[in-house]
Amino acid sequence: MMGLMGFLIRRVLNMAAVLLVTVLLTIAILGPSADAILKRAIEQETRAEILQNKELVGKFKDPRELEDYVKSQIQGKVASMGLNDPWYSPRRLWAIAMKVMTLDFGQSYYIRGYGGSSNVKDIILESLPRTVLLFGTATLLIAVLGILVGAAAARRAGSILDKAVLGYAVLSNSFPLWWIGMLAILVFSYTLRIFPARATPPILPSDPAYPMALLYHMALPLLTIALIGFGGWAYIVRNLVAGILQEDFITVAKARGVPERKIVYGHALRSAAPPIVTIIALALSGSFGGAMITEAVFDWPGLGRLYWEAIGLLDVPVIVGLTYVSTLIFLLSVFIADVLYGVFDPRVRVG
Amino acid sequence: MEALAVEELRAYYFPADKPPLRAVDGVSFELKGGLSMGFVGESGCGKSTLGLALLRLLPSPGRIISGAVRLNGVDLMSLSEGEFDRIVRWKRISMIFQGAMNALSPVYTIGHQLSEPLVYRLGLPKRDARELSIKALWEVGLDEGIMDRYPHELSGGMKQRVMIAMALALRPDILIADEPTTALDVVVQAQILNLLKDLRERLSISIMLLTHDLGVVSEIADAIAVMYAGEIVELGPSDLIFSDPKHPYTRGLLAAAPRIRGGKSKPTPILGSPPDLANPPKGCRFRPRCLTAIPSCERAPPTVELGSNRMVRCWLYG
Repeated sequence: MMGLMGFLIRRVLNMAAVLLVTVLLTIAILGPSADAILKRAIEQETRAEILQNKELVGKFKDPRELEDYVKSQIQGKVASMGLNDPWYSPRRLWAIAMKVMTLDFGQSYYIRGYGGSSNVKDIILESLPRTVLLFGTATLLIAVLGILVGAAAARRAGSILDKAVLGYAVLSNSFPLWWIGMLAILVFSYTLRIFPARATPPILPSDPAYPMALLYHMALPLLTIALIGFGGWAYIVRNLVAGILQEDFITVAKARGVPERKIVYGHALRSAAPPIVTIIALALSGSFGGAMITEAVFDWPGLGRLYWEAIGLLDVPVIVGLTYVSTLIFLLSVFIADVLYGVFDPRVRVG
Repeated sequence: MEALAVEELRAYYFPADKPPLRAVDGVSFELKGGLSMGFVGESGCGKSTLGLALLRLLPSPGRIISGAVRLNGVDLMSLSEGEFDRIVRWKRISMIFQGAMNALSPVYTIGHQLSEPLVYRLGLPKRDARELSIKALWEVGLDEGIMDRYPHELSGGMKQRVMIAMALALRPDILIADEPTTALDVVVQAQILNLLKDLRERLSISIMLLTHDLGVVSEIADAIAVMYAGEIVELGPSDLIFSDPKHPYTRGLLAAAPRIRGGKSKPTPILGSPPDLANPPKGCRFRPRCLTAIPSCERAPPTVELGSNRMVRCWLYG
């Protein structure tokens, strides 16, 4: 039990350290330009604010006085936001890192949420469930299909099914997902008109028909991602399981009467679980962060598209927030994978 | 009556685009109930293939080509795969596999694996199977505490005991023990051999001991079959084989084994290496390495009965 607690504490400290480094690196990359952009924005906003105030402007006879006043106002704002120190000053770095680490990403520069919110946390929390819905479902579908088809191929190694799996794996991995996605939209949305081309339902989320509409709109991207993705999976699982089926303990299990189905799906697949769980974890977290192009092709309003937009606009708080959230998801999934190892394979259990 | 009778058994491997490997090539022997027979030979002489063939578990591309196998008078070769699996495998003939380290599934508990033959072969409910498994553990000198342990938590000797318990759980007539003591240290080897001897007497099973280790055979075998290149070259009661070996290969084997009381005499190796089983020498297969070869050896050697259940395949006696 102590071993387990020690393991958990070590892992959490480890994750915190990785997150801190990620935040600092992101700031180091974006910091200089972010500062310049931020100062420019403050300058413009403050100037516009003062100039719109006719009453205030009227008090100044000399335009130079007005200009001095505007400058002093800008200076005050910059100072109050702590922008007088350079971005790499320890005080500022520490303040930003602490905020980001506690999921306080501040206000976005340009991007607004669907409710008009400029709070970066709100904007990310709007997109996150959509990405999890599409890519989480797709990854699970891929994993289940891949494992079942892969195990079936391994069971009959050398058969037509086995060769078909290899062929399909090579073929499906040879085409980029976004290209297949565009083809799928062309065929199924424009020519056959079975699925909608845009993945966002045209009705409001408050509508009772919304969940069904969302599922219908999700079908095409989901099927495309799953069908393209599972081939490589099946091949990896097939090789893992086929290797294990050569082991002595499989012959012994067969000799003592374990039915073939239980040998393949029990003894063999369970022994192959650690690498499979690793791939699931990496695929899940990878798909959340790296879904930019796919989400853009299918017009799916998730994290990937938000990332894309934020980078285009150099909306630094959103980029920092998204980077942090992606890293967090990645670390959490690797952590969960580590815990699952122990569930499936007693050899890696701790404590 | 003999428990197991094997006649002219041939089991070959058929690798793609290559001539077949004649791993077991015309093996005949009889094993009487309650007795044990040691099969001795270098690695690659066909011992393991013989064991796996008797259980019909030859790995692909291996196959039994011909021969007769009778168990208590029943012809096993006429059984279909389904019948063989239902009636014979593990119930009548079971096996301790080479390398206890890899013989148990790493992902299931000892209790689960011990229960499997009872559940799947006898159709017992899980609870009864568990109780019987605990008894099987006692039989091999293990504590029921390891029921919920995993193989990696056990020592090599314990794993081998578990394997023996598993092989004997269904009270088979024949136990094939393939190198039951390799990869174990000497003290544990002795314990395992004593356990096998003890179980053989208590359960009156016949044991086929496949090993390269003459010391192991001398411990428990009543009879010895010396195998060379897929054939049995000499067969007879152990004491006679040890005291008066006939076949040049048997003599070579005995001379190559180190002795504790050997004085200054050093073990002498057999020169050369075993032949390629895909293309064995014509006539006597041992001829290229034999120090007493004569011209007749280029023809297949005769099977010579020497009395007191002894047999040798060699031209020196024909």
